[in-house]
Amino acid sequence: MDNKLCESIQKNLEAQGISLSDQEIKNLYISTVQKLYDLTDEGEVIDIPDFGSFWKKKTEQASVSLFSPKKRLTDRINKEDE
Amino acid sequence: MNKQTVHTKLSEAVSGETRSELSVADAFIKELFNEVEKELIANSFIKIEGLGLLRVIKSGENKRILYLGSNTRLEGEIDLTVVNKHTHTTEAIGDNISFDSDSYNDKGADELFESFEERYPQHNQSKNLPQGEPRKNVQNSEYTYIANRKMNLIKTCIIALAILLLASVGYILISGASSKPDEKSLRDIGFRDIENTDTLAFNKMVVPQVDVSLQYIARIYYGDEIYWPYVFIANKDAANKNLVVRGGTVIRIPRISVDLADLHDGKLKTSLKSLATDIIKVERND
Repeated sequence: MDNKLCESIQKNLEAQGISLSDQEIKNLYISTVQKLYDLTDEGEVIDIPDFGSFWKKKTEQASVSLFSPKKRLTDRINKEDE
Repeated sequence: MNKQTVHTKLSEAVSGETRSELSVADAFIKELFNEVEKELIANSFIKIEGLGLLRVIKSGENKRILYLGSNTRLEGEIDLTVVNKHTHTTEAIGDNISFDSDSYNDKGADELFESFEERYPQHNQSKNLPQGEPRKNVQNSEYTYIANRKMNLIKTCIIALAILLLASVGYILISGASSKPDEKSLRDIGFRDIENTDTLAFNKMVVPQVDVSLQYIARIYYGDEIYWPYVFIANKDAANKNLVVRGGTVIRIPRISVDLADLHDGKLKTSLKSLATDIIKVERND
């Protein structure tokens, strides 16, 4: 688990008036990643607003995880070089 | 893609598992991917345990994101001994709410809910204001309206007082300048006494410095203008048709016996008036 990432999220949420303990943040992080894995494994496409979609392509022998970014994210990445 | 799934499904699953509010789970997921995005822009890659690696790569002239998903599920257990305080709050409130709705089912909304106007009748006047405006703004508007009315009233009073003051000053100036200017001047200038050559018949001899009426002379020397016929008789040649004596003319002020000066005597008053009428008639006919 990325502690630095969790700390940043915790601060950002606090700024929005949502005060969460370290354990609550940890619970949310673990749950989010696990559910993302589980739902895509079940064949769901998880759409994250303004970011992109996660899904899995399954074959008989293997399963491939895929990500399709939103145009806004791609634009922003390319814009950083300009 | 097999089917499209909205992000709320993930939020609902996370919320249910962590016993946190849906809005909290939603906000967490949003912030998680915000941080992922920031990291991608800053360092061009990020590895999320249990999710995989996201890397920015060059593809032709543009950049794109390469995603290498994790093949293993994140290990870790959710500790629910630390219960989310938001959930606590909700449950605490829920404990105090009765869900026994039987007693309400047979009542209309009007019976169950008290309107704002009913509860706070002093605010009824705000009903006439435009709908949709926040009540705070409505109150501010009321206060501003009352303040403006007070200010307008004060302004009106000040203007009215100023007009009244100006009118008074104007009246004093005009009346002082136009009403009987000669008499005012006479009082200022007065009469010049000269030597009385017949002290038996006349009380004194005076010379007015400006034109003056017989009535005025009578008022000055006898206290009432009704005695002017006596002055006329003593100064027939001095007065003109209008019963005005030119300035610089010698005027004799006759002595009047007490009998002829008693204004309480009605007959005397009548005869004086009659005499005055006759004098005027004669003078005008001449």
